[in-house]
Amino acid sequence: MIVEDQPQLLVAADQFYQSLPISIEELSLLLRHCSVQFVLGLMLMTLAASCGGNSDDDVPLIFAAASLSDVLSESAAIYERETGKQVEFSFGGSLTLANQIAKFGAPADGVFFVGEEPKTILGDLVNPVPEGSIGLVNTLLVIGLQDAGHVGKLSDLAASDARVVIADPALAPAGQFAKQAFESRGVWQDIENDLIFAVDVRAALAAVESGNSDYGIVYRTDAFGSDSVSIMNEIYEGYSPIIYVGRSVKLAENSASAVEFFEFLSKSPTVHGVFESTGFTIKFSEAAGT
Amino acid sequence: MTSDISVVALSVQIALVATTVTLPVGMLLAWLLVRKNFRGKFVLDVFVSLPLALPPVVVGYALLWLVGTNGWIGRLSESVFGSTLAFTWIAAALAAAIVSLPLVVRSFAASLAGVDPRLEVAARGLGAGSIRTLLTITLPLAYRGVIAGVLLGFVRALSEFGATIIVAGNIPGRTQTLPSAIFTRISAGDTGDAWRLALVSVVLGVIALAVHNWLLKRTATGISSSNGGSR
Repeated sequence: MIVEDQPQLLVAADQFYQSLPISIEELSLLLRHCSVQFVLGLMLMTLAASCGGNSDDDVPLIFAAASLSDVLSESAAIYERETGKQVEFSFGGSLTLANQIAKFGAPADGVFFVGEEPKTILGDLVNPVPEGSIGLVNTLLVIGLQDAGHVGKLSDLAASDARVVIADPALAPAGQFAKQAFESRGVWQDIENDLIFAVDVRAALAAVESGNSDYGIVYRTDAFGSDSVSIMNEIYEGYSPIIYVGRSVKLAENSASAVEFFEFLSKSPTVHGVFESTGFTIKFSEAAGT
Repeated sequence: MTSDISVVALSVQIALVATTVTLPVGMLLAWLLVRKNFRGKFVLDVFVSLPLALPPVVVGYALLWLVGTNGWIGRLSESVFGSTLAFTWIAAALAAAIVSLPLVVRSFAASLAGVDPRLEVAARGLGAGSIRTLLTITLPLAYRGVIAGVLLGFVRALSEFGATIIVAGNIPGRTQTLPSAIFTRISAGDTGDAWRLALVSVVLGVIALAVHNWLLKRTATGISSSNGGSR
């Protein structure tokens, strides 16, 4: 029923209308109905919500050890103040985070982990550490509740009935270092079954702070930030060196801005002050690849 | 440390997206399960309800394999967008959608089963098309169940933790939802922050449930008055 002088556009519009799965009459019925308004409202809100935020151009995402959460957050604030650039973090057990990147493609642009195992897990997904990059050295401590009896030596700890918390060796390097320390003194099998495993070293600290565990093995720097636990003993040997280093992730979108942040950490005296005031010892890498 | 507001906003965003996904999918599934007979219906029923019976971590793990670098969804998104969905807020929304889907479908199905099919047949017999029948007969009669399902799904999505933390991680400002933020604060011993955020989730839950009850009440009166005619 195409009328001869009818413009082509109207014909097309008519055809389009006919082809609709729902007529205008039905659509108006649909709109009149309350449930549909509710659904439309919901979808609009979702759309509006999804449009906001999520624009992280250029902002690198750094996956970092839980024990660095305070110092790196503070360093990022200094970084933003001095350069106007931002950084985002995901803090957790180094092993958990390394596995998220290596096995499931988590979108990290850089990592700041401790120990050898995260490096092994990541393999050649990350770049080597450039010469002169900052490394943070940490040591282990035995901490306890303020009213807990003084048990300093690891062998005494293993022999006692006290509840002792360490980070889970399967999830966090802090737990592996603690395990090594017990093993080197030959008392791991005595204490193994009495230990409480926390998800990361901060959770181990929290377990002692809250009184749910009598003693704990944590990093020196964790105890610095806490005034509700007392330091029982420093453990200087019997575990691998505890050094945190930053590496950029190859092929990551914002790999370059991660490198920029790491360079800032290596150079800024203000940041070095933050690290040292929380108990880290600074050690710069000597040659590439360390 | 990201602000409480951004944590709540992200949680609500994820729950809304999850609900928007489960609404049409849930309706389709409920309709299939209630009104259709087909081979494999039992399997579909079990599969849809399975997240209800599984630990959420298992759902999260399965999803992580699908959207991670080794899964087919992960490879697909990697070739299209250049990155996987794992550890993004979209993955969190997917996890929340899958975990809340059984509640949504069950609620829809129960209300759909309460609609007399003969009314639909009569409407069709009087000349109404299938969409018109759905909109004027089926949906108004199943209305309460639909609303209940949507709100229930939303509340479940908002409180999702186990699957989310596996598939989306716990990245402040990107994937950290209210439950995972609370988990972080508890683990780190920030008891004050943890309690405050816990209180926020109680408030959100109460609001969602209050809206749920209010909508149900309103529709109950709305339907009886529209039976009167003029509106």
